[in-house]
Amino acid sequence: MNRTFIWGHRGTGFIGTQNTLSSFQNAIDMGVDGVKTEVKLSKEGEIILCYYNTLKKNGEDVPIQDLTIDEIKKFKLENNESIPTLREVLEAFEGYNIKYNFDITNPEEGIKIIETAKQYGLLNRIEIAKPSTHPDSLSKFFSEIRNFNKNVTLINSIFLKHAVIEEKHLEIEDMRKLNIEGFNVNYNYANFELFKRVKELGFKFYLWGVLFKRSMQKFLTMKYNGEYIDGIMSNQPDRLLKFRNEIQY
Amino acid sequence: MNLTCTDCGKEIETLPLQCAHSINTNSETNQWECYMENCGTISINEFVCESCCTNRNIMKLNKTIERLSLENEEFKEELTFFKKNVVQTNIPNSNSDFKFWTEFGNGVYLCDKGVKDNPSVIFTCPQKTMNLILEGKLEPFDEFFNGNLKIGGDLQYALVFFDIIKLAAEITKETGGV
Repeated sequence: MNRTFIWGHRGTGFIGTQNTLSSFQNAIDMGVDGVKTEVKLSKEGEIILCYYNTLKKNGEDVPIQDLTIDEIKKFKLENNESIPTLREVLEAFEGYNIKYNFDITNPEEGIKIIETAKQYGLLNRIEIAKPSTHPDSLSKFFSEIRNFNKNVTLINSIFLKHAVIEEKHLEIEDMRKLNIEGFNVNYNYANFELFKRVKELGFKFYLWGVLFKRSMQKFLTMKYNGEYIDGIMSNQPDRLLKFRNEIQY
Repeated sequence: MNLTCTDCGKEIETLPLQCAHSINTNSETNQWECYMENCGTISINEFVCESCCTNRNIMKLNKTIERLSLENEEFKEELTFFKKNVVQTNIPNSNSDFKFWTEFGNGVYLCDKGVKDNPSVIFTCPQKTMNLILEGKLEPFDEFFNGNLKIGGDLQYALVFFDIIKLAAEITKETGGV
């Protein structure tokens, strides 16, 4: 039987400073199966792990894509660490059996992630996700990436309530055509019926944003055809791991 | 009839229909009073306009959550898993803006009218939107994407705030109120 895959959001979520090498290390030490975060491209086309769109340079907000890695590295996070590059992360945790799920904002970022991961032989540990807030259709968002690489795992994140209720928003045809492996649904709109439907359609079922003991326990005990929910992303991965270890042996 | 709102001072030219239809004399106080949905039954001498009634309701809903944080062990415990965050809500109004703050995290949920320094999240929205969100009748992020609710600051904690409100509503429903 499968166990629910636990993703630490930006490392350890609400514990410590998010999106830092130390947060990723702490998440791995906690026992997460993977880390989910956002990426951006620097001016020279290097992937960095960061959710900010802009950073301060000489007191002004500058879009990250206009900053070089050297300039980005000068920016210090709350714990005085700098923003990590994808290369630094892949190198630092190469020896660990963990996966990465990256929210991208455009196909260029996805292609760069694939190129970088391939250089480290870690493409099988990478998932690329369309963020739940992105307005583009699946086809527009993922076609270029799928054409570039046939094997990388692609995930479709869903945010709004109507998207899980109205069939057209699930874009099932495009999910199949582009070989997108799964849905990632905000936990507030998830229920057994949706889980069952997604599994019957043959896709993975992830939940994101899961907080609170009652929700964690509810979704960790949910089963269809003897299978648990495929993955849960949380800002409280420590609690989630504790409950998973109690519920799923 | 010259009526003035006791909260905002606005002159009320016409009685709201719900009030006019329910007006009667209180035999104990000998005062005219009427039923105003969000404020319950109020005396004409201490009348408040419809807008201020809704503001009162917003604060009432918030205060219910605050009380829950003191009296319900599950809710109290959940609030310990977040660092302290201040959410500032600004409701623009043609008469005067209504502002209130909410503080959650470190085991507490507090709220009051006015402005608090250094909020991590700032909401700006019409009064009706916030009222319906707090009543659980509107999805906050649907309102965000359709432009009714503007969110400044940390989107992540805005999401947490609304999840906390939903949790409070769930617990209140299960326990039949605080």
